[in-house]
Amino acid sequence: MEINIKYFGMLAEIIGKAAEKVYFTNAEGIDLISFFKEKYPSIQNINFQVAVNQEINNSIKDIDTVTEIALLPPFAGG
Amino acid sequence: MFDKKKIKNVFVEGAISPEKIATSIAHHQVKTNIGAHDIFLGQVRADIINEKEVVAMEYSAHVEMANHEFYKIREMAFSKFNLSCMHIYHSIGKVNAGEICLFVFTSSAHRKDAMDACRFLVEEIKVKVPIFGKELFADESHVWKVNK
Repeated sequence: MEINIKYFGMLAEIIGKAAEKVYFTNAEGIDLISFFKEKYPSIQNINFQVAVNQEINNSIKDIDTVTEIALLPPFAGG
Repeated sequence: MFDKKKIKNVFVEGAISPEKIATSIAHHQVKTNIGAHDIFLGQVRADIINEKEVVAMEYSAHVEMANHEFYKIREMAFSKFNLSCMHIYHSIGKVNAGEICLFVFTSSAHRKDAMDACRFLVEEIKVKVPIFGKELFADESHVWKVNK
């Protein structure tokens, strides 16, 4: 299944894009942080969180409900 | 899920002007049940990093998620504290050193609720809202800011 992925801040800068579609064969239950670090070795040492449908969550329970995955580097608001 | 109509856009393009803050204070003069306001203003600091001075911060965000998070934080503050009023504005885009990037304004009948709520909001915003900051130097290089 194809899912919309969004990259922010330093992650978008390092990966070189702000969004893409990624095809998952078996996404349910996998560790998403590890998945993306494997996909992009250049972010191996970057600290980040994952949001599934805009809620912080590092795994997917039901792939059919997923509309978006976002990779969020450390926050700097305020 | 969220009631989309209740979710406000917290973001302001560029710096938050002192005039906007003054106007916001003035708007509360008609609300005479209020006895106390507290205000927090975040200002972009000209940090020296590797011997170079930060001249501006460029904020970006996962805007939709950030507005949801701001909404949840607002709802939490309204349930925890006895507030008459609450306003939050955060900059997006470029804000020069010395300019205001965050405006949190709480009002209550007595000082404790306004003051406790204001501190609570600022701490929650720093930890929970997906906002990212690029610290820009005069030579156009940059580093990414991370909240402590």
